[in-house]
Amino acid sequence: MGIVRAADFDLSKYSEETTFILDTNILYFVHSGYYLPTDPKCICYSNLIQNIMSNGRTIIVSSLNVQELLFGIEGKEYMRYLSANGISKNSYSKKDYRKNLAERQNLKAKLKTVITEISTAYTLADGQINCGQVYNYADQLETHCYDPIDYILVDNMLAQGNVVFISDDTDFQFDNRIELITA
Amino acid sequence: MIRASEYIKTGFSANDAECLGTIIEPMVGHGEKIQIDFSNIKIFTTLFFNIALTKYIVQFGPQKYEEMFEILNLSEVGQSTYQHSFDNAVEYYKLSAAQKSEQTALLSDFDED
Repeated sequence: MGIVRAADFDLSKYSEETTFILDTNILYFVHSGYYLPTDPKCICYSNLIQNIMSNGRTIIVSSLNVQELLFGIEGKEYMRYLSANGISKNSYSKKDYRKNLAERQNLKAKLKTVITEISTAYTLADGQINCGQVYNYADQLETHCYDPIDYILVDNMLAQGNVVFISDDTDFQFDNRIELITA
Repeated sequence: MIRASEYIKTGFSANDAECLGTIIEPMVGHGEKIQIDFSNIKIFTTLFFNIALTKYIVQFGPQKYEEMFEILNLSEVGQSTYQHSFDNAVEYYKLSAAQKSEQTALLSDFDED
């Protein structure tokens, strides 16, 4: 397997049965919606995905990644709230932020829009986590560089066969079993 | 009236936004309201609207933007995505230059560490 840079991506080299898997950071760049109109990664990955979509190829997003994205956006909104109100993490924790009803409602609207965007564009797959995978993640820790979610995502998707991962996370670059497309 | 479906099949990518932008840009600043019809476009991202349209909120302010543009026939998904983009751009517009830099630095990476 190997690493393909997005700039060198040629869809014709992949069979029609290939399934493309989007990692959480890709979902963030393309679907978080933050005002970053000139961000090169937002531009690069949105164009890459559109190339795949417009040629009718299969793109799958796991619920593992969607939940990770939602958690990440919550973290960003918490940091934005601290910045906008000139308060520190020490004086206003994330737990405090979660109890703020007005902010919770704002966040709900944002997350629902993100989920709608993603579910309209891609095939969503339920991500399974079983105890054996959790055990293997730890038991094989020196053989991989993944966090638990990525380890289980790769394990699940490799079992399907004929998959290509699209990720900006360098942890994926150390796995010789996978085909990776990255900026 | 700009019929978006004559130029793009989706409102998804930066390329889509750039393509539509080549039609919109020459019309900006000439005083007439720019109407954009999104009939038959089904897939949208907030990113698309950020690049194609709501950048003009950041440039001209929300009031002037609403005088300049009329957006028509968005699907339900398109409407919620567009509103998300609109709201984000208005928030961004209100930031000082220093706050804009700080926000861009905060949001430009997804922290998975």
